Amino acid sequence: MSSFTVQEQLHEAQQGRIQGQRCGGCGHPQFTLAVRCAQCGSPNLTLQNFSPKGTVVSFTVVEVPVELFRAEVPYGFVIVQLDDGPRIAGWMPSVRSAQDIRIGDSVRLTPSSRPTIQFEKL
Amino acid sequence: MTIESACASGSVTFREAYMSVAGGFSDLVLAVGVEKVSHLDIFSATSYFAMGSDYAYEGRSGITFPGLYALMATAYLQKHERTQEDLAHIAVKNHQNASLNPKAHIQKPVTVEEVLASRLIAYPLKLYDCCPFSDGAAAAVLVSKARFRELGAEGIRVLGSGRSGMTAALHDRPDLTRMESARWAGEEAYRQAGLTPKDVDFAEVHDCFTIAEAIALEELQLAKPGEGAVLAREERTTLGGELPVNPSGGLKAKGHPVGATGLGQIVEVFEQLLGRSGPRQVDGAEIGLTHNVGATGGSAAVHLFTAEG
Repeated sequence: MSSFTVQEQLHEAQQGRIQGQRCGGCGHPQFTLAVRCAQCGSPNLTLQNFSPKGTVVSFTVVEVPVELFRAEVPYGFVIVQLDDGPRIAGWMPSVRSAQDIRIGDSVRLTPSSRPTIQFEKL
Repeated sequence: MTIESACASGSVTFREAYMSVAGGFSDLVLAVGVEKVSHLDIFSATSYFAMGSDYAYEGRSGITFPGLYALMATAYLQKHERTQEDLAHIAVKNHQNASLNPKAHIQKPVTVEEVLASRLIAYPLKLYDCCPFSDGAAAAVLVSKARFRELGAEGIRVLGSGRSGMTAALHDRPDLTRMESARWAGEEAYRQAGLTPKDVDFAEVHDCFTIAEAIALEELQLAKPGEGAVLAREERTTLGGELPVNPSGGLKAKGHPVGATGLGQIVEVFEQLLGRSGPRQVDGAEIGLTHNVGATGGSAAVHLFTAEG
């Protein structure tokens, strides 16, 4: 458990696989790796695979980007509630305007050619 | 001593100085905040600000600072059935106030139509929903009561100083329309001061984006949930309203020189409480509040003040 790093976790996510922690005390799932549960404080955490499918909780469409994303605009960015897991954030290059997406849309993690967490529509 | 707390650095610096004086370790402390960003182009500045996000889990995948607040805005507008036009009124109010402030970065009033017609930065936020990248500096001299009497100066008194924090990561927050750290910091400040939100005569709040002012007013319990976005439209937070908010013009138009912003808010409260604010003077300003957050609420500080002497 302790040998699993954020770097490895993000590399997995770039391939389309979501691994995070599940609390043995309260059942809370978390993507941000920690030594204790963010909800109940229990140290009893186990690594788990979560479904890459989920629902959009909120979104934006970035028009003025950071330097590394200058070639990508406009692109969506979403907060997603995974079906059986935690919430995670990522970008959605297929979203080019607010017309392309709504809160509640079903999305799926997809492999990315960049070191990012990337979603596509289901 | 150098203090770093992202966009809340100024007020966190002030609070460190306050604790040193109030705790008896010093009888005079100078708190200074400064920022220089105008040498950066928009992409470099946007990249620099994005460092204040949860970089591993969010920033790395392309989020920007306007984007983080836009994620809150999308959730807020849907949950409370508010509109981009409601938010535009916050920008109009703060630009109007800044037009009366000779130290403001942007002293140009704008109309609701101009705000709505401005280019998108990160949906649903448009250019005029966003604060500018500003250069600036602000300072406060904090002294003990004994030293204050010796100096015979005019001043203001700290009634309450609250500070809190929470996760910077938006995906780790159960409710994107909330910023609990500001609620906790505010509750601490009110408790220390023996005051309630009803006692506040005016407030300088952290309106880096229009949505941020709406959420700030709710967390400070100056507005009910969903009401923060419409107080400007209803003219309740304008200079002549029941609770003037951001009489300086706020981050939105006075400007957001990151390291200086929290101290700049306190300078505005100082001038208001001493009746020195000229055409933007708040009538009957006896209790002033400042609210300053960094890292989208990862760091929050709230202060309450009144005139001394």
